[in-house]
Amino acid sequence: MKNRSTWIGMGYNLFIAYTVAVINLFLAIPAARFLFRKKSRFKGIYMIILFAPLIIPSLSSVLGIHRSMIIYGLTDNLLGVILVNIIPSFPYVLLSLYGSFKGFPKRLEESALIDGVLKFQMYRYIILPILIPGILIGSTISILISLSEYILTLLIGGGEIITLPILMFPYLSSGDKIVGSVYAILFIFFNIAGILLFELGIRSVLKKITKVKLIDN
Amino acid sequence: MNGMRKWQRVKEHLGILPSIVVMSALFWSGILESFKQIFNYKLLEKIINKGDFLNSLAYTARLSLCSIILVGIISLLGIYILYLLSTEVGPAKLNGIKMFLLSPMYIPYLLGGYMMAILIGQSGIISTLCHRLGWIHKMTEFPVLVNESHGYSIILTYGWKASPFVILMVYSTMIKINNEWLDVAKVYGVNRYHFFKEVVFPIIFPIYLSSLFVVFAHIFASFEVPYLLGVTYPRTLPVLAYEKYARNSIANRGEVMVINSIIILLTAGMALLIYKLNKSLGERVELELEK
Repeated sequence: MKNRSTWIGMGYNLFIAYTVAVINLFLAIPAARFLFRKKSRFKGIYMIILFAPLIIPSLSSVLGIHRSMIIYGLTDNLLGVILVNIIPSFPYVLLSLYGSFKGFPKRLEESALIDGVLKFQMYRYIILPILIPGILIGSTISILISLSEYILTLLIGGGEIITLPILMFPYLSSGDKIVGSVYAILFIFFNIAGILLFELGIRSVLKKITKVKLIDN
Repeated sequence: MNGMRKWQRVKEHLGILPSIVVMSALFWSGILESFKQIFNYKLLEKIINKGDFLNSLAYTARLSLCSIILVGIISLLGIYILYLLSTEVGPAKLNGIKMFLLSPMYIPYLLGGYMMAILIGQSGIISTLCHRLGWIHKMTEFPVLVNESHGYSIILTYGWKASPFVILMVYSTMIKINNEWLDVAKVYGVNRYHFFKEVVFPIIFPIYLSSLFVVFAHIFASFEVPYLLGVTYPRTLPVLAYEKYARNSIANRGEVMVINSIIILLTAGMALLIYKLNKSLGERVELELEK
């Protein structure tokens, strides 16, 4: 049980999940702000484009782009796996951020702009602090999804990228009960630890950036 | 001047542009790639005539339907319990119970399926218990519930795993209902069950229905649980597509893409239905609540 591949799997798993979560946040924060604030003719189309993976299965899409990913050399490596892991998790991050924009008065932004705040500063001191709950929830969901992603990682990783679910699956399906259960329990604790670790990290980063004292809930 | 204005307009969209580009490149290009093949009429005919596909389609539909019926029952029970408790216990306790009811959401589907297999498998916990209690003489007398063609274990897994989502969605609407209404109703001699049936249920019904549809679409298109707990025949559509692809990716590619696009079309149709439902029913309820 305590062989090296389990540790490697956990390492890959965490690395993929964290990278995906960070990318998701960077993509979703401006997008959520746009969707909430700006008026545009194309808003409905944007919503469809961004939220569709909530319903339409990501496996279908990945089977479709698999060939082009092979051509561009994105299979069997980390980059490709990270990219496909964005697909199922991004809409959830966007959704939770979008939710936390609700009740955020526009006047706050406007008055800040009148006071001559730079765009960057506005993000740093006004938007980020308000979004903190959304960021925490969104990143948690994103990590949960990508930690337990099996088929997309298997398909694009091609057996080169080993994560815990991939290691675990043969034991779960073949019925080697002891190994399977050990893996299952390990995986549950691993999930919890992975999420807590990220939460701690992102809390301290946000604290440093926004200089807001976070109240623990 | 004109250029300036154009730039302004582009700048407005700067926030959303990166995510649109990423999602189009990763997600939508794959969808379109699948759709290229559906106009290939010969291929479509070949697949439909094969029987393999239709069987899978029927099997998937049946599984999803049974699952959402189970989900509907379990989640309604959960909602009713939450509603009853919300009038009795304090917020701290209620929160604890809510967390307990929602806890299956945090377990990955892969593990959820495995836990179900351990629980009801032929050498699983329940079977062992029955054996110990002397209800059955041999472990093999226990009915086969995992990896069999009816998909009982799959349905049970979904019933257990997907209900919390429905409860969560409904609960967020339910807390908006004014508590004073119940007091008024009590004055008129209405008990809590009737209040739930006549007042609460009609309000939560739209969100209940549309979240059930979401679950249906999700189950229809999901891969991991049927892959883990299912059998080689009949297979659900996503498993069929993947297995065809994995076995011989180049020769079967066209077929896989057609199956793929059928899955996409069905789920997208479902999404449209949910959207319409939400819009027509949801708005009416919102209006009622605002009054």
